[in-house]
Amino acid sequence: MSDSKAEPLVTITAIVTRADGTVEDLGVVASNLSMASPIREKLRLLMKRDN
Amino acid sequence: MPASTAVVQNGRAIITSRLIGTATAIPAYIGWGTGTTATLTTDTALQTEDTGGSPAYARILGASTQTTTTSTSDTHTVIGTITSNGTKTITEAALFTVVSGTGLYVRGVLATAITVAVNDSVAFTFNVQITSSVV
Repeated sequence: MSDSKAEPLVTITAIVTRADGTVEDLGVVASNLSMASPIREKLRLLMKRDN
Repeated sequence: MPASTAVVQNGRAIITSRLIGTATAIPAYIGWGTGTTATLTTDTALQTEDTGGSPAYARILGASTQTTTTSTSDTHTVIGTITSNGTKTITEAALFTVVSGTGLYVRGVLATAITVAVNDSVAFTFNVQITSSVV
């Protein structure tokens, strides 16, 4: 029950601070955790022995 | 622009090199660029790394720590901030072992372009979680 293409798991987040001090938290801007497959992700989280 | 990211093939070699204690540096230099081609594990560089500007663009050395995502210290986290020296549309970011040249560890194409102007800054956090499975 593993997806070798998604390991290691990479997540990149970004917070922009404008020159005037305005802060924009963009959150996750890239990840190889498949958001297109929420069922697979739920299964991964449920399979505790995988961790 | 679909996001894509991975530890690239050279990054795998960096991990194993660090495990046996050879001289490969910690991959903690953060760079950015304007390429939009999806990440491939065969990538060896950003597609179009930023250049020029004043003061000249340079990768920055992030703070590198072990953090916990699922099990204790299973994640390598690098946090660093790049300040823009001009108006740019940033679409990719990466981790390297060196301040310039090769040494690519992780490349990411961003889900949404980040438009920055001079003196805008972007604080990036890279999390690389090592997982293992019993099958």
